[in-house]
Amino acid sequence: MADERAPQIAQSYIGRITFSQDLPAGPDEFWCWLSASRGLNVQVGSLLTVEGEGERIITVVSDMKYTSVTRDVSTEFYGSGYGSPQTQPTVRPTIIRCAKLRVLLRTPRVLAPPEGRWGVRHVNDEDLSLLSEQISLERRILGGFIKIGLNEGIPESWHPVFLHADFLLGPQGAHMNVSGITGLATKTSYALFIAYSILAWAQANDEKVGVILFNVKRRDFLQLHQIPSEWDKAHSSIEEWAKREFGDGQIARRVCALWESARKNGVDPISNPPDIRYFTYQGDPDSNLMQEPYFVKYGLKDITRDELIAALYRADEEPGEQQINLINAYFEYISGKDVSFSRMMNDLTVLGQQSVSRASRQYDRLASQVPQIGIWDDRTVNAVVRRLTGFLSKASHIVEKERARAEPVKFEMLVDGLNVIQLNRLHDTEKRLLVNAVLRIASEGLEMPENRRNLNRIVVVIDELNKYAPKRWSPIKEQIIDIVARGRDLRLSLIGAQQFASDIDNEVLGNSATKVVGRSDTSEISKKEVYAYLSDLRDMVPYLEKGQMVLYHPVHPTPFIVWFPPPLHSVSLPT
Amino acid sequence: MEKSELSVGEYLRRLNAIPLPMNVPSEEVAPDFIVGVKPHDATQLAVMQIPEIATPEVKFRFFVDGVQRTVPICQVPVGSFRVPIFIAHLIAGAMERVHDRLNPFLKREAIVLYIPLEGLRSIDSSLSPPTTLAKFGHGGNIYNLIMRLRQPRRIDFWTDISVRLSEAPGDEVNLGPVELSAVGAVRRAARNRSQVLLRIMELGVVWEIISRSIFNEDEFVVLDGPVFLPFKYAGLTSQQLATVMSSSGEQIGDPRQAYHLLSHLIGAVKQVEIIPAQGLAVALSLEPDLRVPVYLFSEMIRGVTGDLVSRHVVSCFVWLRRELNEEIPLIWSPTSGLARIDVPFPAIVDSRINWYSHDFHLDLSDGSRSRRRLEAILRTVVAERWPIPEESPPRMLTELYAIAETERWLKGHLLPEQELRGLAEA
Repeated sequence: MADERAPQIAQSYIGRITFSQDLPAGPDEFWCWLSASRGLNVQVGSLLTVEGEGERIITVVSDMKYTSVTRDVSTEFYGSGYGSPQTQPTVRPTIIRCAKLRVLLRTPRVLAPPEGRWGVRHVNDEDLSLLSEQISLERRILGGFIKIGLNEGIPESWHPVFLHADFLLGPQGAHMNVSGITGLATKTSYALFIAYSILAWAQANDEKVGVILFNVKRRDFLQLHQIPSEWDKAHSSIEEWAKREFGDGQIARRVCALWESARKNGVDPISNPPDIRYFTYQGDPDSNLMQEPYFVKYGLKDITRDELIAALYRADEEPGEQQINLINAYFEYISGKDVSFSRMMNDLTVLGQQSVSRASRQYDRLASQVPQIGIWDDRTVNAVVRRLTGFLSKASHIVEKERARAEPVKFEMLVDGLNVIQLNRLHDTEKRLLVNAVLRIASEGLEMPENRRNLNRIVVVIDELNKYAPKRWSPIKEQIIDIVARGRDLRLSLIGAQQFASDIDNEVLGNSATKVVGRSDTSEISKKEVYAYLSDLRDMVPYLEKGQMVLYHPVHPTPFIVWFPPPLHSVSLPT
Repeated sequence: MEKSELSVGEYLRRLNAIPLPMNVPSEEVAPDFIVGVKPHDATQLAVMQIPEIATPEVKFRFFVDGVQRTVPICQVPVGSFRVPIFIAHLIAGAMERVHDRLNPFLKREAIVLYIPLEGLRSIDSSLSPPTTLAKFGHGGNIYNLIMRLRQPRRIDFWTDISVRLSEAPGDEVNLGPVELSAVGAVRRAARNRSQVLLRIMELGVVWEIISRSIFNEDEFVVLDGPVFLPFKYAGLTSQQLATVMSSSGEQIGDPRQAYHLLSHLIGAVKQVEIIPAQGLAVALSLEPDLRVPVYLFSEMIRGVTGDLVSRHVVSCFVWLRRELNEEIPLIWSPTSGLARIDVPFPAIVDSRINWYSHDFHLDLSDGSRSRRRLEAILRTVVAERWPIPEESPPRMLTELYAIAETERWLKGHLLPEQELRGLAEA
């Protein structure tokens, strides 16, 4: 076996910090020039180490500029054989390459510009270990990898990057938000990778973590149990997948190396598969793909007033205050009673007819049927009735109309592992009801005394978060706002994903301590108030590859680019 | 004993030197515009026809240049007037072309204190020299002293700018009490001394390159400036070069050694001051091919601003970038767009030929070896005309990119004025 050791990037200096009038140095970012040699392997997002006078600074390349002594284009034009592109100059004109470096870590900690024209080199394992040492061993959750070698096909070229459990799962901070273009940003894959990492961390630290994965579209999470039984088979599957999808063996080697590196860091879904439980609805055509799914259904008494309100109204509409008051009053009225959706419909229908019947002979007969919740304008009542009618007709998959209680997802049903809840093909109102109901039981469950619950942490992964926590005011997002606000104390963490972070409620986004961006388009990324934390890396985002993310985690002062492998079940399944 | 331990700062304080304010300008003004040319009789040996699209036929492998920064640091009160003292940072070096890239090859530098000591002593004989510094003086061997430097970024040398360094005729003059009272004369002496020392260093660099490298027959060192100018100071450069030229610096002393040095050396003169009295118009021809008139001056002629021609060198006038001439409105004189390529006889004649003799006649007839070789050099010069260096308009027209790049590299190592002043205070 050949020696496969080897980050092959030279460890000698490749540049030096510059202190020029056009590029002065600051405490958090400064510029360096790079050696004139070719093949330096430096690009925006690369990590470089600066060292001198006993100090070491690990930095991210956030911008690059190539320049020369030429002051304007006319010299370039005239200088090339008087505007002749065919001219081959006998001397290659010098290009001065400059890189802007943002401080990721400095030892010792100093908040001042570097003191000298210190040397700049590629990061090595030892430097990145300093980065990892910011997080104690028992708090490290694998968050991805930084490339430190030229050969992507060997695990040694990938250095692990860790997230701090206290900042991802509470109590110091919580939640992660992932944004990027659907289909290119690999948001769901990253969320799943983090889910596996969290479970690996939980197992190593005797934590009972239930991960709830809402399957929003296609079959993203429905076949998680269908991963190869051995790593050798996994490697073969990865090779076939890469050949099929990209026709590129290099990608397969990279993915294998990333998974090897993940295994070395304790994330091994094959040797140590997590428990998986599926929840779906009757009539789901994909239920056969799942392993022994639970079928769920909700009666009126299985949901709360807020969940019903969230289900009745669209995210983009503002319900009338009277309608909300009426629903509140009705829920107060049925408190302690077993009331079904049908009964609610009937009660409100009668209530709506009350003003008409007062004037008629039927009043006495109807009066006994009218729920005692006060006098309401029949227009308000009828509006709610129409909403309810519409909802019940749309929510037939998961709503039990006749029984007050049905088969909801319950806290004790959640496993210490992956809990997949099927939302695909459900109507938006059903999705909202199910998501909010599950979030509620998760938070209520975590509030129970420790000896009465099987889980001590819950992580909720939800795509299309903008549907549940839109930016504009809406009653449907109150529950999510409440959860993100209290989540870090409850140990309930939300991993939300959406195409555009600018569509998300500010509070929900602001409470997400960890922010991740995959490939996104320029118009979205240019919204500086949302993506200010990306700094100059913003310009790099439209060019990210699948499997690359810009990661901002509060333990590190500046974001950087990480790589991660695609989920094993997705590379194992035929298209 | 105590005297020998004096630092430069202490020495200057003993002289009661008064520091100069920071805003006094340094002596590095080297105007690119030649305000006048000096026509001189010369023999036109040939007019070469070089295609505009030429391919290099020889290799210009090394490019040698020198840069300096000369800063007034203090004034010494003597009698009723004050005499300025200077510090100069001098750097000479070479870049080597490897394929199509230039790599730093050799760099020599010296930081020198300029004191008009003999002039001062004629007023106050008690003044003594700075004994901790090595002196650049008549004794020569200057380049050898510089080569021995271990820590180049400190003041290691001094020189007396009131005494001419060389016997050779030149710009330098002795400064007596009268001249010392004129600050301008002292400043000019300082500037001239820097130029002389730079020529010495450039010759030293050329000598080092030629000694250290194995040259193919078609490889050359290109010197920035007149090729024969540094040879005037060969006697001061090192003991090994002491006999290359006669003691006057005007005549070849050791033809064999001179041939060894000159056979791979050409000069690229971007500021042409000395021109032939007649026939230069052919160089400004607008024919499809470039016309390069080749001249031989009958004696060594010095210009006012450092130009020099020699009877051992053919002077080739090339309108390098004639296309640009009308694009740059600042250039109103067509001759200011002419560059001169100095090709010493040894570069184009066989070593067995008596090239240094007064009777030597250079054969540039069609088909002759010398003509073929000169043509090859000139074709290479024309091939080198792109890219142009980004500089002021006259340089754009006459300078080779590789020379400009070498100068930029060396300039990048010059200490800032304030740091130079700081060295003298320590």
